Amino acid sequence: MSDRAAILAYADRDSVKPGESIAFAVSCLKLDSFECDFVRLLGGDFGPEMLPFRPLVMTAPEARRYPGREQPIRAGSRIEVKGSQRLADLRSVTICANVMPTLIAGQPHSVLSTLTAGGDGGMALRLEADGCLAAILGGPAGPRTYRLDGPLPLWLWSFVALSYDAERHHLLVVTRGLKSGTHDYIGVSRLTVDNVEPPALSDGRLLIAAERDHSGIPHHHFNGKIERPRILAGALSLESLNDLALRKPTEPLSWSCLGDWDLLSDPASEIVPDRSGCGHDGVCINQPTRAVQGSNWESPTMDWRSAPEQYGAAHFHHDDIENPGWQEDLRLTVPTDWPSGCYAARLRGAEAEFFVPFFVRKAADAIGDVAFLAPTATYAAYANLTMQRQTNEYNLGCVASSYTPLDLLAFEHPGLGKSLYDPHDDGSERCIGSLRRPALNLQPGGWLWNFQIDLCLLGWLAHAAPDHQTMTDEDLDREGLAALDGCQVLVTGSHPEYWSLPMLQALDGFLARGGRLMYLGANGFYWAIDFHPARNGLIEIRRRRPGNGRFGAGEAYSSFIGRPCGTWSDLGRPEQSLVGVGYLTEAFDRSSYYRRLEAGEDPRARFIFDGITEDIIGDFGITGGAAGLEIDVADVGLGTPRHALVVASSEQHGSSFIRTLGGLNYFTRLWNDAPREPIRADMTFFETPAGGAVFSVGSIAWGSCLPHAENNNHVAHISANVLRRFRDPTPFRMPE
Amino acid sequence: MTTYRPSPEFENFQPDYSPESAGTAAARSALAGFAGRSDLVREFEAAPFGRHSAELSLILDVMRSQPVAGKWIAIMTKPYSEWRAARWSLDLPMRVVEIGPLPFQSREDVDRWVFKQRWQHLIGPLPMQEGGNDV
Repeated sequence: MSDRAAILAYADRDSVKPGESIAFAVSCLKLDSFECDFVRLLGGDFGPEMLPFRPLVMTAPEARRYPGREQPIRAGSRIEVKGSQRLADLRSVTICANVMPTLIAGQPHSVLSTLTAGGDGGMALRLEADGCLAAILGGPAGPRTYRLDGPLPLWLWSFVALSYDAERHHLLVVTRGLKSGTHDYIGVSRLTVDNVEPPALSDGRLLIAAERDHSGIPHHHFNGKIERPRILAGALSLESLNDLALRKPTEPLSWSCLGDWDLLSDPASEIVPDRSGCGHDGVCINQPTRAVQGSNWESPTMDWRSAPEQYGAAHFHHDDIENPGWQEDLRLTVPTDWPSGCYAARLRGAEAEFFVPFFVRKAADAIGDVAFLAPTATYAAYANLTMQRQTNEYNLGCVASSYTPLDLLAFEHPGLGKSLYDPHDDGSERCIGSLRRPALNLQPGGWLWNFQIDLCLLGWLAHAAPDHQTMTDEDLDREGLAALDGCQVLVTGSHPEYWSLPMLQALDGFLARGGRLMYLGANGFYWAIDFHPARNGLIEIRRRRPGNGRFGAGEAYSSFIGRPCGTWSDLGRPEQSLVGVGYLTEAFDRSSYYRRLEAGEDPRARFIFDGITEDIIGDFGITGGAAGLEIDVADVGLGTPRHALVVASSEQHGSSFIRTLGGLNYFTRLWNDAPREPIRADMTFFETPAGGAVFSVGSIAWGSCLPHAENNNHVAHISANVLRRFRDPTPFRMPE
Repeated sequence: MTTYRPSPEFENFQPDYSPESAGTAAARSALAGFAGRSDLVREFEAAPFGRHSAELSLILDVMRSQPVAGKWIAIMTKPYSEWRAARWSLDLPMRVVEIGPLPFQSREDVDRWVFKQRWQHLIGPLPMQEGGNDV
């Protein structure tokens, strides 16, 4: 642990209207108080070559010093059941479930537990630190463990059970392999023990996929899938357990149950209904992945809604997190005179500093004909990116992948959770991204990438359109086209990569009524995600990556809404058909410049270069140029409108830009010198039939050049030229 | 610089992982022929980021393709003005276990330093002395 003081914090929302309130939860490490003020962000601390970082300090009565304390991070998904007297005294009982463990790694993993804190009562069914199944019986002398020999196989399904006969003092512990789509040996292991004293009473509280430690805090989180966890009101014989193991998980039982948890029913809900009739409904904590392939999944089923009986499992991880469960420290009521924009709670103490950004919507009576769409879905996907996956490091294109000291806090506090680009510790893909936790890379400093470049865009917009409004992806998802009422020009962030269907439909509607779109980034409109229907700051994706065999192959639809995920291109909506350009490649070493093309002289596009005589555009900036990081090109075959004009293209990119074809990463840069179409970014313009237009720069690095020379540069001039014409209500005319 | 202390939930996390894959030996074998190529070291030093020859591209490709554990990385200790090299641990979960000896004033400089470390790891002693003369 570092000796330095540190502050970590998060807000309860990302978007707030004037007059509404937003709450902040703060954890102070080695600090007993912190100073809070509120700033408007129009840039960041990007070193001596950029504009000095001078956030605008806003007046608010909530800005003051607050007492601070460390708040523990409670990671790990689980189901909590409030419990009852009946669960406190289980008497003769059978506890069972189908499980697919995915990680043991020297840690116990609890399947279901009524154990009390300290283990002086209750029971648990768990995998021990070596992966062997064990029954744990709590008692005044401490918990007693009865374990099988031989670990359960990872990534394969097994039926696991304990059966305790309180009258005969007889304990039975059983595992039985289940068909998992392979030819693995399916056998039964069992342990029978006589003269087992009954467990002492518990307090009736129950956890699935975790148990309580000595302090009552959940630990021993299960890593893997659990399906149909049950408590039967009686001790089943070995024969009956075999019968139960072979039944489909949705088959009704003839035995009476005390708990029979249905993990499929309404997977977006935090409530897991108990089908036993005993009212022991559970509550999901920290978002286990729901609607995943169960033990009886059959290829090629893809949609859990069409075959719900095949998706009765949930995948739990010890590193799942929706929020750390911290208590609120302060609440800001946003003054009605704050202009729409990006703000942050700035929290400081000793040498520690932490920003919690949020977006303020426009006042109801404000004009806001220019709107900036803050790509919060993309922020949720990238929050706490660590880049320890080898292919990600490779794609950076540098010999040394780069971090800031704040980035490294993600390793010091692994419970904060990582990004959707970092796998879970069991190797499975992360599907759920949350902004309801400290985001170490959503700071007005660090690498110029994504959020940081968006702050440059907002700094430029504050000059070019001081009355602009901001809204978030989630606002657009919730409100649809109505969110864009009164808006004539929509400006994207630098990397608007993750889009839900309602967001795209709103954008379609906006363009269909003559709206104008400035796509000032790249690799946008790429992944299909869903926002959680009720909880904010949560997105879900199913990447549908090939190469994992059976695992995850049928998990193509989100659990939040039930829509198909993957890339929008694979779903028949390539980004080229929407904005004229689409993702080509990426590298994060040095960016390059654009050269104006003949199409830029076309009268239709001449306004773009108004006042600019040079052919070279954007050969400056802290990343080395305006074209880089990730770049897009036009492709008529993928939907670029045939009348689109590529008015400039970049050139002279370094050898580190990988060559991708059809989404396949060829994992070599060697053929950068082979004859082929050049690596480039295409700056593209086209009109829409409704009198609107789309301007796309095809580069994430574009926005990083805007602050150069105090916004007095060709990148800023071109952006301003386009913005000026796009605000002019005169309709664009489609070419003949 | 921070050091790692796992929270209780993550203690004793011991997944099986090999910092050097079976491909590392193959990588060394593939790159062995470059052991004396000081021209390629100089090419990288002249332009860490840019267009590289096919031979240097091959070396960089192999360097990037190696497992992450134990690798040198860059930490930007002051915004776009100071960098340090740091090294991941060999075991998981990876954390910073070593900081390079000197600060650097540019990202190119830290990449130059890391390139030399990786050269020595995969190819062998640098074919040039500190002053730039060939060994």
